Amino acid sequence: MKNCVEKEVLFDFYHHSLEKDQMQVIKKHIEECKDCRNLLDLLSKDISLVKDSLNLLNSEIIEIPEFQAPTNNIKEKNKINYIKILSIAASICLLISISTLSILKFTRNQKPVNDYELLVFIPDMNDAWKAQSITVTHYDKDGVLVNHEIIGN
Amino acid sequence: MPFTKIYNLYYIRIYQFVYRHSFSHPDSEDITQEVFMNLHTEINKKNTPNNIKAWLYKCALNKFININKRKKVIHLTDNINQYEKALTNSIEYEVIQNEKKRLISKALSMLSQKEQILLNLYNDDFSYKEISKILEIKFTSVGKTLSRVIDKLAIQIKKSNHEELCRERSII
Repeated sequence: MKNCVEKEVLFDFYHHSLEKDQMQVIKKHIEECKDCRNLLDLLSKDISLVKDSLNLLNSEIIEIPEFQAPTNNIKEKNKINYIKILSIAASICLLISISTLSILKFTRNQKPVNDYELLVFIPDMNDAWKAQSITVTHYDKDGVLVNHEIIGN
Repeated sequence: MPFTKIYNLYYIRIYQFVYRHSFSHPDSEDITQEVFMNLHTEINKKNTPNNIKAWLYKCALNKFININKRKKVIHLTDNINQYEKALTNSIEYEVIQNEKKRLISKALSMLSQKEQILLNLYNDDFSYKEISKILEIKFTSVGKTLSRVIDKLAIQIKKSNHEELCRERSII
């Protein structure tokens, strides 16, 4: 066993993964050495035992399902998202504009709540008081004169 | 190679590879589908990998490891019970098969996760070079580790077979 091959090298030899020169050297040695031949035999048995055992763990017959390719690419997905965001923004704008318009219209159309209006109003009340010429006229909402009064003399 | 051809060629292999680690049909199915989805998008982007087989296995492996991290279940031993459960309602042949499977997975559980993956890749006829690339280990250490792992596992399997024989004889 002096020049015998190590088990690891024998393993590589079994798989033909050594360099050509080395392969030939070991091949020659194995032909001559009975121990190494036995070891190689044992190794191959071990390998097949392990392989068989591992294959035993395989699942029972498997059916290949049909491949369902992803329908939407990333670009298309992004496009859809973009459209969604745009539509939401547009609807919000529309809502705001409609509401402001309606509020404006409502405020414009609003009439004074009073039943009568003060038609004549002299700007400087003090002067008018001095001149004693304040007149007050009242009309109701149909425009009929209700009261015409001169305050003072 | 067109995608459908790759799909039909490798689907079962990838499925079995994942199943041998997870022992869970839904997990294996999900991972395999995801792997092929990824390949499909890669091909659409015109990034077709050079070595498709190795790429598929590496992708499956990464996904399997990720799922296990999430579940915090790493070892095969957790899945051995599955066989024991199946024992109660199965015919004789299945009982024997399940017992064998249980023994093998028990023997496998003695190995580390990396060693198990290494063995499974070896079993799927990968070259040393491909294994070293997938597992990101040195090319020179693949052969050495493999021979050590196979030695270890063979001893374990023989031992468990022997124990089983002894038990059977004592029962008879």
